[in-house]
Amino acid sequence: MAEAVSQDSLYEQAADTYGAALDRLARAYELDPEARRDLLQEIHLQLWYSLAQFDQRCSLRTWVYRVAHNVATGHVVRQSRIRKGLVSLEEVEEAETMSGSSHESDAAQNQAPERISGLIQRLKPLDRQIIVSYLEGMPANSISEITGLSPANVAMKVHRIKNILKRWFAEGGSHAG
Amino acid sequence: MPDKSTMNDPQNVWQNQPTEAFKMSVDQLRVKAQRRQKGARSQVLRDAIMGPIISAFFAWNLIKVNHVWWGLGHPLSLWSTRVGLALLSLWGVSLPFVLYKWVWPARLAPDAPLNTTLQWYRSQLEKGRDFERRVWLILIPAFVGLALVIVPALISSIGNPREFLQNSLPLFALLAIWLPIFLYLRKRRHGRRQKEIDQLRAFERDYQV
Repeated sequence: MAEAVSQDSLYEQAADTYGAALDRLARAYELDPEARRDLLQEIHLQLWYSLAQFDQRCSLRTWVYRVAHNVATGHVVRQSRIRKGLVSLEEVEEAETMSGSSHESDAAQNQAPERISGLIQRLKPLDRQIIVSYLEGMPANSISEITGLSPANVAMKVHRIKNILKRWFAEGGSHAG
Repeated sequence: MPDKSTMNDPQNVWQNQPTEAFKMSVDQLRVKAQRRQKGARSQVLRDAIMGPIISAFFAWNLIKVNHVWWGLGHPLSLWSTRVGLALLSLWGVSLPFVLYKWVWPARLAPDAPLNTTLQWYRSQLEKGRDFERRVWLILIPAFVGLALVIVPALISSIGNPREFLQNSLPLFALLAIWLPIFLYLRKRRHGRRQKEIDQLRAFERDYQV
């Protein structure tokens, strides 16, 4: 019973503190609003399940993000419509450098969060985890803890992300996702 | 009007986007979890019961074979039928174990890192692919058992071509329809699975930066 109480209270705490972040994470993985709601429900359900095993060897935040990314990655991996044509950060950066010129932007792309979501949804799972964690303001060591990548690799990826986003924002929304 | 410098900070833009206040109550989570557990339990039950039912059906016929089955005058025919039914009955008993080994998914830690998650999904797909590859091996005892039951009856009617046709035609017609469909669907599923496995391998390769 004590375990259940602790699991429930941990979930309450996690949902209150990271609820908005989980919503943003779901947006980064699923464009369709209905499918996104299902994904978000699944994230919450798996998070609640998982908290029975939370052993405090990492922070609650790291645990929440690990579980959420895990569920969302499963969502991407299972759905071939999402999985098709995903690219890496390196490929995005290369394409941006090669094209140099801007693409025509549509109404949605002028909305910065949607544009960022558009970029994220083109990325392969690992790069998604890193960019979402970076955008949530996590330091490299936390991202490394969540993804299991070495801090050096994370730093390299974050550097690429910063370059891409800097170029996007400097050009005032002209680069398409 | 938001500050322009804030608007140009991707982290700020991302974190300040409007979000839905989504939260599930613990009771809602429990109901959902119970519903899911119930579904999983009935699936296990279905898998576990199917084998014994098949086994019991053939065992029952094995007991009755002496006086019910068609004109089995020759002792060899009788023994062939008995062995066939016994084989089918044993096959039925083994079915839940086979399904458990090949179909039941392994557990994945909830906080597993990405490469473990990808490996897990890939291993599940590979398991499915290998199951389809080996499905013939799993079906062999059933085919042998059926052959041992059916062939003596067919042989006994060879002297009477009309009876022979009557006995064999439905079976061979069914086989002729089933086999190409089964092979076609199997090939298609295999192709799709292999494509998914290759995509996951590519994701895993990206991970080895």
